[in-house]
Order: sequence, then C-alpha cells, then structure tokens
Amino acid sequence: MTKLFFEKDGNLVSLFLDSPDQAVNSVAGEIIVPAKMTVRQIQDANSLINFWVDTPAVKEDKIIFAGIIPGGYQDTGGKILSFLLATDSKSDFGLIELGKIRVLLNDGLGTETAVETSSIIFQPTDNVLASLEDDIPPEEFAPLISSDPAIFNGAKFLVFQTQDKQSGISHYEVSEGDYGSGEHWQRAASPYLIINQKLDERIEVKAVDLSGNERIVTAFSPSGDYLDYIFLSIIIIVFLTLCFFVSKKFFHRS
Amino acid sequence: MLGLASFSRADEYTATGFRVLDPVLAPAQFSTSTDFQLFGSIGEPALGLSTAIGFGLRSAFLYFPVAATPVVSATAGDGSVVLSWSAVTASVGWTVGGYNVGQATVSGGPYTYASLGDVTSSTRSSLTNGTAYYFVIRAEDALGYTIATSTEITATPVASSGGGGVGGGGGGIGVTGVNLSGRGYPLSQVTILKDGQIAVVTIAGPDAKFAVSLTGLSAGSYLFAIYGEDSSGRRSSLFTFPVYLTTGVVTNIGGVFLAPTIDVDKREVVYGENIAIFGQTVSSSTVTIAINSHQEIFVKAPADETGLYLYNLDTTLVEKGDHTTKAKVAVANEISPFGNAVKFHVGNQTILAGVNKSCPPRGDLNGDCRVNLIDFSITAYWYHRPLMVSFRPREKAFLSGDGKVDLVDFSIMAYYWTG
Repeated sequence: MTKLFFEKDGNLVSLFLDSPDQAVNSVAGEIIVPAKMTVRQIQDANSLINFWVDTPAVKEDKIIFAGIIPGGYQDTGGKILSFLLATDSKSDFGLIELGKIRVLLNDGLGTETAVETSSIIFQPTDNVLASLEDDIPPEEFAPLISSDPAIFNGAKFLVFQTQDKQSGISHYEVSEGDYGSGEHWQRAASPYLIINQKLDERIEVKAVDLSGNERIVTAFSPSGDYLDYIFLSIIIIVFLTLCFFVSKKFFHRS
Repeated sequence: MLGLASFSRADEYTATGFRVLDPVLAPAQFSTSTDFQLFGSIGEPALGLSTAIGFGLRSAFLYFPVAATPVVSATAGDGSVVLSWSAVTASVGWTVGGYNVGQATVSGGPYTYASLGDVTSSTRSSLTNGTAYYFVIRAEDALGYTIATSTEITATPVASSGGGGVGGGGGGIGVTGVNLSGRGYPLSQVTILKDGQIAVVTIAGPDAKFAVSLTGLSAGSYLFAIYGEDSSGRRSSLFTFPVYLTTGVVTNIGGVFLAPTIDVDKREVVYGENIAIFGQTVSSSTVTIAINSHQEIFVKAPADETGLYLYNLDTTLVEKGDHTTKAKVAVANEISPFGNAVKFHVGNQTILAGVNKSCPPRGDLNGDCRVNLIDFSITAYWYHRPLMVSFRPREKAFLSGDGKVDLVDFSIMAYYWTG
C-alpha cells in the first residue's frame, strides 16, 4: 500500500512517502494548514523529489507541491518535504491534513494509484524556529543551454537544477555579462530565457540554500570560443599570405 | 479449482498444510525429483460452480526465477555497520516472508545468519573496529525457504575520530561518498545518475561487471539511478536505489544487476511466423523471457560469451493481437529484475521494426535521444498553460497526448528518464 504520512520534530513537520510494493514516480497535492498557524519555512533538503513541477509554496493556508522521481521509488520512509510552523500562542493547536493527493506509478503511463493518507495534530513547542546548522553550499551542478521552437519562440534558454542536502535550495540567480558577480545577479527560475542571445558573454548561475550558502557555476564562457576564432583566423591569414607569395612567385617566373 | 491427478491412488494426495503452486521449481532445489509425473487439470466440482471473470493460469512445468536478488548498501560506523537493501518482489505464488542477514569476517563465509523479519534495513552492532565484515541478505518465503540471496557486501567499522566521523565501507577517513558495483553488459556503457542527473559514466568489463566511486558528496539522502546501454545502443530500464550518506563515510552499494536489454525484429508479424526476441545481458547466462499473452508464456534463452541472446518465438503459441515481452537474467545465483517491456502485434501482415530503437520512445521532446532536464523544462514551460498549436503534435507523440501538460506527462518523462 502506498502511504503519505506526517512526522513532527519540534516545530518541524515532515511529509513522508511509503511505497514498498510498487514503484511510484510522481507525487502532488496540498498540505492544509490551520489558518491560525504560519508556515515560516519550507525545506526540500533530502527530498525524494528530484525535480519539482510545483515548487512547494504557500497559497491560501495550503502548501502546494508536485514533483517527480526519475526512475521511481519503491521503499519506505522517503521524505517529500518539511516545513516549520509557528502559532501566535503556544496553546494553539490544529490538524494538518493532506488534500488533492495524486501519486502516479512508474509505469510509463502515469497511472494513478490509491494512496492512504493520514493527518497530524500540531501544537508548537518552545523551540519555535529551529536554526539550521548548515555551512555547506549546494551541490555542484552543470547548467545546460538549449533552444526549442516550442518555448521562448526558439530563443536560447538556460536550464539548471541542484540539491542542497542540509537545508534545501532557497532560490537561484543568474548573471549575464563579464563584469563579475554582484550587481548583475538576478533571481531566476529554470528554464531561463537568456538575454544575450549572441552568447558572447559569460553566464553564471548561483544556487543559494536556505542558510545563505552559495554555489556559483559557469553556464557559458566565451573565452574558449574567442581563442578558437583567433587561432583559426591566424591560420587562415598565414595560409592566404603563403598562397599569395607562392602564386606571385609562380606567375613572376612564368 | 486446481485438481491434481496421476497414476497413483487419489488418497495419496491427502495431507495437512500443503499448497500446489502449479508447479514452480524454485531455487534451493526443494522441488527436484527423478521419478514423478505430474498432471494438471482444471475442473469444477459441480456444473456451474466454477465460473470466473478474469483469472490467470500458468500450466505446464515452468521454471523461471521468481525473485530478483536484493541490492544491498553497507555504511560503516563506530563498532557498527548499517545495512539497507532493496525490497524483494516475488511472484507466481510466492510472497516474501522476511529477511535474514548473514555475517562473516572472511569473504565468502561461512556466514552466521540472523533473522530480521520483514524489514529492509538493519544495524549490525558490537563489531570490532578495523575488522572487515562481509554480509549477505537472504529473502525468505512465508515458509522460511530462501528465494533470493544478495551478493556479498563488505564494510569495516572504524572508531569515531572526534568530530570527523568515521571511515569505512572501503573508503578513507573523512571522505563522504559511495562505491557502486554490479553487472551491466560486456564492455558497454553504464550511466549513474545522482538525484536524476548524470554523475558518472563508466564502461563495464568483459565480464559485464562495473564499479565506480563517487566522492566529495555531502551527507544526506540520495537517489542513485543506474542504466546500461548495450553494444547496439539499447538502454536498460532505470534501476533506482535510495541511500543515506553519512559524513566521512564511504557507503558500499553492491549487487546492482541491470535487466537485459530487449528488442524484437518485427513490430507486427503474420500469425504463424516467427518473431525474433533478442538483446544483451551478462555473458554465458540464462535469460528468462516473458511473453504477455492470454496465457503468459515463459521461455529461456542462453546468452553467448558476448552476452547476446536470441529467441525465435513461434507465434502460433500466442493468439492474434497485441503482446509485450520482457526479460530477466540469472547467473551465479544472482537474478536481475525484469526490464522494460517491448510491444509487438500478431496479425495479418509483417512490419519490420525500425532501426532507431535506442531513443526513448516517450519523453524525448527535443529529439536528442535523451530525457533530461531540458525536456523537463520544455514540458514545465507548458504546465498550466494552453498548448501552442505547434507544440500539440509533440505532446501527442511524446507525452500523454491528452492535449494538456499535467502530472501524467511528467510521470511519463520520469519513467523514460536518461539524465
């Protein structure tokens, strides 16, 4: 039986998936939080979900989420996400429930399977906001540049994705241009429409975790291309020059 | 109702507590015999009492592996080793009743076994730091018979070094990572995905065995996925395995056994003609091919020294209509899971299969023969949006074809994912 259930650790509530008998690869739904409670933070660290279709976010007292697990998951105790809750009063308590849950089988067809869900009663503890001990940046990643007539009218775009095992990814930023990092960073989501379609300037992507640690990787660097062009140009010029002198000498003799 | 008849007297079949499983010759040889005949029949005790809507029947004397061997991970700790393994899925009347762990300090045993119950993890404690321990996991059926045994996995507990964690499992102190080993196809490419993205690509040896190390990882939960490409570029199904990595410890994951690749030479075949079912797997092994029909058929085919196998199916054994076939392999007491299924149709004409079979049939939106973050991003772009007219044919061809992008389309991509 496939199950979704909550576990509580202080004020951190986590949603887990059990599916010991069948492989599943997609999970979507909403977590209904009582109105008197506030979701302070959503963490996807150590999540089973490798790619979020709906990145977990709060919308009208609900945490909406949807994501996939490439290759599927058939095991127990896989974490989907965690969230920190706070209330105005320590005596407040309420029921956290699941709604609109969809779990799909890893069968190549997207077949929906029955899911057993459970709720949990939440009451805050003294430790309202547990601090995350995380000084490790998000994992290395390799952004990809592509283009497709189906999106952005065929313009070049950038895709990126990484994980942070300690606190989870907060957001991404992209910098276009050779002016170094800092003022050119802009918050971005994948797929990102590249502004400089000529691709003659450096593009960097920064992943930031919930503790503020950063991982910056280069998505595109024109330097290698420039060197190639310069080298090729020199060869062509030398070749043409040689041809010119050889032909001049030949015609001069004849 | 399953009736059993022979040339013996009927009252010889009275017994307390036995089941006839339409006979399955299982591992451990507890069904062998040199001098018996078995006849099976289906009947009803009285007219009209045995009507049924939808039932499966497997007749004849069948032999096929009933359970894939578990993949096991071992993470060394201070005086302990944490073991976890993939759940064994049994079939054909078998159910997994529980697991045993075998422990030894010499590779190959003899092992001392301990019963664990129906769980998929265990912490072995009171171990001696600095001593290499060797473990196997045995899956048992409900009666306590062994139906699958993992390959051996090793780990060496090491005393905790203050705040630096422990080393073990084959790695050095302070390194966080994973060693992955298993069987693919001889001299063929094996791709390892870490959380859905390609981490490393390696080549299996002539014996189809591969081993890779990934280090420099941070502690946490990972989902590793592995697939192989055979010598013709056909990809195996994706084998996934979740593991939790501990700071300063290299976790060993052993016994990954990629299912055989499989293909057919005809998309459609005239009833009565042969259709070739072929692919690649471990060399000199035995491949079990399942053909989905009104009555599921299991046949065996040997793989040669290069791992190639071929079975010519006489289509008079199946009825006209759509069929699928899939394969698993057994070698040296290891059994792979079943791989991807391929379709064929038995009808009134013969249509040869295409040659470009290495590309994923679904999910590959940009036509680069891969299903990865780019395809995911293209699909995600149309999530919650009305589809552009020019995108609809691709959605129909490579996704669910329902004219919209929703979770089902992403699930299809996840199934065919290549990274």
